[in-house]
Amino acid sequence: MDIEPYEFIPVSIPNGEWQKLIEDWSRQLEPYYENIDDYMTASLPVLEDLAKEPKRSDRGVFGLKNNDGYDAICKINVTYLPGYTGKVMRVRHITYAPCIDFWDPETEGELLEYYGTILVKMFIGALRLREQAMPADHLKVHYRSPAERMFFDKIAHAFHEVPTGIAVKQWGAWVYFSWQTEEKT
Amino acid sequence: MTQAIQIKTLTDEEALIFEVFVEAVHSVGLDAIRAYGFFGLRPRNTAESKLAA
Repeated sequence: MDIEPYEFIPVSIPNGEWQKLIEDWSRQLEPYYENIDDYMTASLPVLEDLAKEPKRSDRGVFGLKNNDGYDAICKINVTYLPGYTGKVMRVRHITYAPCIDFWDPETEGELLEYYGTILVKMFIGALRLREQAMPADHLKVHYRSPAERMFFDKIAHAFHEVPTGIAVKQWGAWVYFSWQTEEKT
Repeated sequence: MTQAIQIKTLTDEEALIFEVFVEAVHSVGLDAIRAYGFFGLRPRNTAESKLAA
């Protein structure tokens, strides 16, 4: 299946991509008189701290890059965790670009399509990362609201219905995608 | 060293996942997503109040 090409790339201060992202997102915030320092304060400072680190093979900030800038970024790490066979990849602090957050209410129907596409592009980026550079037997995505739980309830149900070969379970505020038969007990 | 991943085509499995995710987002609906804040989207009134300012 062909899709509009995109990149899922490391975003760090050493590689200069973090600075490009901040410049891009600051520009997007200007029409709303909002400062980047006040935008997504629960996640951006956490991501910035990680972006300061030299490149590592087990964690980093990753962004969904389009022709004009970044649609979204997140934190990804892989590690061994108690109760799992093999490494676990964790996706946290998914943060969308200001242009999506401040989407024109008059065209919110289009936002739903765009938003869903970006979310799945991030997920597929994480899947490719898992296959190519950060091997793991499980992928965990953290969620923080009832709406996200509702969303992953539907995802889990759909994955049970279709032959993807991926087991999906939810525990606490996490959804787990597993490629092994051994799962959290 | 982790390099940029370029994605132009999806495998059959990824295409299936793509479809499942987009359907689930539509199923939840934007009102619920905006009401609670959802993966980086803040509640609707935050964005709208800025637009009105």
